[in-house]
Amino acid sequence: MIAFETKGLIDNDGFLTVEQPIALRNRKVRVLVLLPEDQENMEWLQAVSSNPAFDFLADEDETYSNKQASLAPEVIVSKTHTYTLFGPLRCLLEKEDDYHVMSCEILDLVGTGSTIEEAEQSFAEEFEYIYIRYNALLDDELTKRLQSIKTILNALVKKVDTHAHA
Amino acid sequence: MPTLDAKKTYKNLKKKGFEDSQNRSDDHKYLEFRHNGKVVLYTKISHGEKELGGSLIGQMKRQCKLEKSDFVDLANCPLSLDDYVVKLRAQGLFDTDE
Repeated sequence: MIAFETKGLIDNDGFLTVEQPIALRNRKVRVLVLLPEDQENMEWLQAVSSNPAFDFLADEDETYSNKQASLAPEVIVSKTHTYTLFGPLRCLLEKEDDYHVMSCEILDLVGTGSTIEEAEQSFAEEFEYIYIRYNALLDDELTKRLQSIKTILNALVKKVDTHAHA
Repeated sequence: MPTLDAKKTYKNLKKKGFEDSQNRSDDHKYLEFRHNGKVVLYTKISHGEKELGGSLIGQMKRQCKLEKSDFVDLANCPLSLDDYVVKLRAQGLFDTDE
């Protein structure tokens, strides 16, 4: 899959117009819309993990089926690597039954754990798995859906650092 | 939350077409489900534990794109490979030209 980057504007009716013509004609294309994070939203996202309003996620004694919170990590830390991202990765944190779930729809990733920290660690392991595995596979070995995820993943990762002890 | 026997689940997933991934972690094996030679999805299973707990079952069912009851059927065998493929196709997980 080939990716072009350009800028555009979504108007009041929700239609997207690109600023410059793209050197393609009569082709159907898929569009990935990346929105800059506004400061207010960023502050809210950063506050989520420490805000007492979200303490319910750590409380083991309630029913949480409808309770969710957003997270937007910019760094994913696995046991062996740190993945620095170009921007925040939108994730959902929720509680199901007696465990926590951290998921990211755009990467089709899910991590679970009995605590939020375990769910985050599990998520990081899954992130690392698909980063390594999808890049080890040829595109012909992936469905188009997974090819798209691979493209997004590679566009998202700015830097990979190996931990000193790894 | 019911638990599942880890070895039995692994064995049954292999019967349903899941294949061992070349990548693995210290305490988990990864399994890939392919259709027409293409990886459609993956899941992971503990290889150190005797039973799979609720948290891992919750992760596996989501990775396998199934509701909990269907995933338990997949792991215990009642859900056939053909039925599973139908469920995945209904979710648009295969390429449209297949």
